[in-house]
Amino acid sequence: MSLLELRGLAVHYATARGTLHAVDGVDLDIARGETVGLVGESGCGKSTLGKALLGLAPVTAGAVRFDGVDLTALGARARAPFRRRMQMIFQDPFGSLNPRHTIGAILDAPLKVHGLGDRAARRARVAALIAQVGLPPDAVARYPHEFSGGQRQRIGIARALALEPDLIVCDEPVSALDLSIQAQILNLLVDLKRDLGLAYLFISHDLGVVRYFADRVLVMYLGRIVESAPAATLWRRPMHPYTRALIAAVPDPARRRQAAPLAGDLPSPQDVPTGCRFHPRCPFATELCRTTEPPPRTLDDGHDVACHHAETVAGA
Amino acid sequence: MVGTEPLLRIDGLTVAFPGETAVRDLSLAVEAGQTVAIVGESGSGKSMTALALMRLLPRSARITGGSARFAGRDLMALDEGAMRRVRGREIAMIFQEPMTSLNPVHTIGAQVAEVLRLHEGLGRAAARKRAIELLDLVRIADPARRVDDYPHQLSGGMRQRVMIAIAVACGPKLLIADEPTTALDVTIQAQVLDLLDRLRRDLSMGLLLITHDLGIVGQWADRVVVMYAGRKVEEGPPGALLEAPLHPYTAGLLGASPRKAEGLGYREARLAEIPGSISSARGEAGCAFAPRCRHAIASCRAAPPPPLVAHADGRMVACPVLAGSGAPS
Repeated sequence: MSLLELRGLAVHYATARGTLHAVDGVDLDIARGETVGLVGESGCGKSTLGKALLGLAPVTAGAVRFDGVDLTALGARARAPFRRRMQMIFQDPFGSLNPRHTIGAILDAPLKVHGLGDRAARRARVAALIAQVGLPPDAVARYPHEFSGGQRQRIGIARALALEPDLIVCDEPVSALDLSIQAQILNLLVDLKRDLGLAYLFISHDLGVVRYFADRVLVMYLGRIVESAPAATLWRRPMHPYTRALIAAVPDPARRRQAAPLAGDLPSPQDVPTGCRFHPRCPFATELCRTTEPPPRTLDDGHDVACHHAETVAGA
Repeated sequence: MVGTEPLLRIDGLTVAFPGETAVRDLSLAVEAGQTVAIVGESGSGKSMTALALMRLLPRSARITGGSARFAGRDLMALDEGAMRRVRGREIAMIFQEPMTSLNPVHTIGAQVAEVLRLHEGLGRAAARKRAIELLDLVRIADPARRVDDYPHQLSGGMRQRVMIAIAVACGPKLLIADEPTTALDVTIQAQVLDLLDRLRRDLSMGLLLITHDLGIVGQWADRVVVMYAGRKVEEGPPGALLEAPLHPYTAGLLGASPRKAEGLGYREARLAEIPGSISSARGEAGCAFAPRCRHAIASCRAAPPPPLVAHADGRMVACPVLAGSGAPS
């Protein structure tokens, strides 16, 4: 059984300009200890999906099953013990760290809320968390502004670890960091996963990072998963035209001065195209694509793909 | 262009804030029609270099040394009136976040036309006509209709195209692009970089491209300058520099990049970290990178910092430890 199962998850918002289909029917499984990468461009719904499974965005339809229990059917009180086991780290940890609290107080807060241990036990746990993420022991008495971007992300990770979760949703955790610091944080996440058996949902727009970091990758476009496969398979043999375009758009010294092929802008999620959502930008689109939305299909090499012409795309 | 003066020659440029030097003794050249990339992370001085060239530095900053020869003049010695005639007309600049550079209460057409009326003295009708042509040049679909749109009606990629239209309106000889695609999605980034490269070629512009992305450097630049803590630490053609970096910092950046893992996942290959952060360069008398460098020896931390030394194939590097010992691993 998967640790987490999403079935037909939808998050719709009513706006003045009509319904916004941020997440529009997503199935997703994460096994214990697995890292699932979720890639897509801005507005595709990837962050909303991450928030929805933690109960931080309203679920319009579908199921969020954690250890087999559908959380959407539970009230807040019944959900609390599950919620503890799923945590989140953000792109900008500074925005989520109270500037008036010391690091010690920030890390103590979740322990206190959940009534874990007396004061001495919590103090010991805070010190252990600080060491675990590679911060100096004196960090406990210091304030968020005294730390660099990379160190703040370590604080955000320590806070996510405080309640010993099984799953951490990482929403663009290294996007705001310089390359030299990014490697430090990615290595830390790899170590923590190995030591603690964590599963990650790793949300990112950076395909290079996702290819390295994820066991399996899901590609999202306008609220839907268009392709998913083991990371290496996806890069070796992308079968959805959007995945191909994303990979081709990654800057690459091997393609000196060669343009990326994908034209056009992302459509608004308030104005989703008919048929296949990708058809207005797709070089493979036919009349069928304009009228009929392709259902997801499972292919023999571990691929799930939602494209009428996936076999043609893969061979092109 | 061999033997002739390049379009831009920066020589010994130094920019200081009270208590801090942002750019130290920087020299580089840009030829007409050439793309030179400055690569570095936050605090490397790459953006301050661009602002110094435009003479748009924050009030507390001072240019304390060096020159920037451009078309026969030293930009650092021009008075504000002369500089104003250079800016926008001969040297233009685009920034990371186009929304903050565009005026939200004016149509994009009016903002493109304003430059033409100011610098080229065009009348209202002629400026509007030319503005539509420029929007077409930067590949905005249906420019005759889009010209009356306001910035908020456009996507991020379209706004950056408008900024580029404004920047090239007067046919500048040099375009400075400071992280022009960092705020854009990857498919839009590719479109914008392709557009910049096409304009460089068609208008014979020099392009000074400031970026933190080594992939962009490798794909689009003719020459690369790597900066660390205000200094140029390495320079060369992108192929050689990315294949076999000579400075430990350049090598460190490449090792830290997940792309360099060549398809290997986290189970097969660990990313090479550069320990510490750039803040350790502060107050360092010798090589600014020494506190983070695994090749550092005692003399690296003694003043003065290592000078840039020329190597084969037009390469330069400021690291005596690795000079002659081959590329650092």
